[in-house]
Amino acid sequence: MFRDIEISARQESARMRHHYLGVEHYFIGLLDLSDGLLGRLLDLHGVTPDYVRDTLRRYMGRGARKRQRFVGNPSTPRAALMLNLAYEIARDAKRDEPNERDILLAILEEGDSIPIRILRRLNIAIDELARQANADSSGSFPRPSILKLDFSPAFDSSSGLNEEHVFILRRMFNTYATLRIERQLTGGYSGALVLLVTPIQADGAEDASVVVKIADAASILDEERRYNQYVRNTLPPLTARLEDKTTAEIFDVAGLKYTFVPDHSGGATSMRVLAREMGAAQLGTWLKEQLFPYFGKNWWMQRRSYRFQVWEEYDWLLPPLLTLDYVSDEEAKAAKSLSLVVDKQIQRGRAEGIEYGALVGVHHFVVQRIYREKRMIQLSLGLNTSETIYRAYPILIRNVDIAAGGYFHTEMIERQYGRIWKTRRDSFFEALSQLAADFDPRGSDIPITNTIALPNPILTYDNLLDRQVDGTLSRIHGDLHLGNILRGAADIPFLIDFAHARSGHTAFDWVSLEISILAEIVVPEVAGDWASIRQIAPYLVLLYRGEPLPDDPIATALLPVIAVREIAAQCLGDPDDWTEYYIALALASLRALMWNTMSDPARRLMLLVSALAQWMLRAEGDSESTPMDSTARDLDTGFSKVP
Amino acid sequence: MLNAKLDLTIMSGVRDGTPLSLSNTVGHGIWENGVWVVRVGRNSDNDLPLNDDDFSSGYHAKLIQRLDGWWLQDCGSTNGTFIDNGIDDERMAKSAIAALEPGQLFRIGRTWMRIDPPQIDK
Repeated sequence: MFRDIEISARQESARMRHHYLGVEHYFIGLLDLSDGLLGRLLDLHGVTPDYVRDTLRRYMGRGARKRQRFVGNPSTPRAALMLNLAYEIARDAKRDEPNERDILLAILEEGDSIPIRILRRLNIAIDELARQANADSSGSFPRPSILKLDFSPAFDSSSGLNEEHVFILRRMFNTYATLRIERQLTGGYSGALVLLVTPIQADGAEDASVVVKIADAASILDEERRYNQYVRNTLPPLTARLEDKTTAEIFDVAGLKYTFVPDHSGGATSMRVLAREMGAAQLGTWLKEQLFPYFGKNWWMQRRSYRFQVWEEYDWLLPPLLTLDYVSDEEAKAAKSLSLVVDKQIQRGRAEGIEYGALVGVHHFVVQRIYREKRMIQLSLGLNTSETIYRAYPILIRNVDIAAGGYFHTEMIERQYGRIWKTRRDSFFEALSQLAADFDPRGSDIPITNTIALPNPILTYDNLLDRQVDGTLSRIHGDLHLGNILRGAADIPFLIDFAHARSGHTAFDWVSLEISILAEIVVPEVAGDWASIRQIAPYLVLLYRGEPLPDDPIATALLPVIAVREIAAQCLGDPDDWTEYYIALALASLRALMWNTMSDPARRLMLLVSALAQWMLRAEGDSESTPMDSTARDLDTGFSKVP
Repeated sequence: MLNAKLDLTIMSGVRDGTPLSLSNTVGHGIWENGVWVVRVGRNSDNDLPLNDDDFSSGYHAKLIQRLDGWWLQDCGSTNGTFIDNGIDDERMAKSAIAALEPGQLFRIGRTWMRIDPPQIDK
């Protein structure tokens, strides 16, 4: 047992290029034990061993590539002290050498090491942990009480409440006897599960309903941080609030709770559902007269002038710049030459032109995400100037030995190699190929109506990324769609899901909402095949140009989009210049094309929206785009009347 | 000022747990405008040399003893000087100066340290 922990500690030290043995390495040795005591105890405190290991690695950092200046693999003075303590504890228990409990107790008793500091940061009480470690000699743990789940008739049980979700709900409401699942509010595009639930006491008394969001642990923790940073102090008095204490992180999922002021039925309904009830016209009015004034003051109307290069705000939304198959340092060295080196100075054109299988080096990128199960890591630019720049230029590496690599979030990787699997454009074409195109997806033009074609947006979007935009910056929600906007008592709007809240390009929220309305309200008006989706295009052109729409179902469904445009006009840097909006729309719609969670008909429309938004940029005759070409002129006349 | 003294403990790296004691009586530190200043960095002519930390700069930071307590100043270091605020590591701006709470941890390059309370001689 002791030997295993020590070997594991030495391996960790080597992985991290530390070349000494500290308390932190022993701690990771304890974390690495399968079904180990430490892992089980952390589980009781709502954190996973993976998360703690990652946090520790981030705290310590990886050592430099060159060999350290000291010889051998010495133990630190603190590790020596800790081991002495562990041996004492073992001797007292008449054991020859310490077991995992002895080492853990010694680390807790020493009380001043890096792991202790990390545990404190995670709000884990050290004495509580020691008490539990002592109590565990029998191997029995206090388990959370079993909460009974009730399902209201409104809840669609086929909506995929799985074992992990149930486990999280039990952890979140373990002081209650019963939890009634009222309904699912939104699946969102992120794969998160959002439920309205009512906790019920043992005596049958019902507490106020709350909104619960369950998603992967990393994004839940991130959402809590964003809420505290951007949202907490900016909310109007009556609206959804994140409860102070979030949750349990078990498996790789976690949950959090939002309290809110319910409507007369005791619940809250998302606009995705309400939109059908209230009708498109009323939805538009509500967005303008309720949502925007209610949140606007502290959010979108805080706008400040903001000049940025488009990639700085939008590149991170797009599919990976490159997807690579992992190549080891040794193999890369043996290959002698690289087809491309991606460093901080990104040359997107070169990245796009590269062939399948070519060997690429990625220098000084940071670890953005670790997909343990899928054996992938996602790297990004990692410049600390802003969050979206930090995440820009995602590069996905496949077939990575995660355990051996010792990767941790935010780690800067000096050199990483891989062979090209696909480029960003390949990813777009792949998504488009799933949509049964009745045209050549890779062709230079795509049909927008039955007679008019526009340049394929997948081939033209890239230039937008290098443009400079004068827009506005404010606090934004970052994922504003109909499912995240709820209505409570007295018509009061509230927002949920702050996983992407940040200080960012103001227009992005409205572009996102416009896309959501198109997908959820406009697209259902047509059959959904390509020919029927193209019927929507002429209406969009009229709308974009501010011309009146005819009186028919498609035009009516577009009324909330017009309302969004009226709101957006108040958020632009220059109310007469929609360049920043159309650039955002062109890129955000292409991104939506990638969403497996969006319906195929809506994704078809997204391709047309991107083409039209880019056409608007040309048609508006802004100096940086090519002047209106003959196609656009045809389109111009072709659309002067709705067919 | 006659007798200036600094006790601290290394809190990370290969010397984690090592207590250090510096004193002007054995030539540590310099006097600048009447306050005692302890220089920290990778070069061996610092009062507190960090020759095992490749992430510290040659002359990385200064610890300054003022009447109201210890202050930490970054000396334009490459990899930064950080202060533990209990939740996170807060990076100091280049050449910035900040007061240290008693027992507060700070990081020079990759090396965490903590100033220990003064030992009372009986």
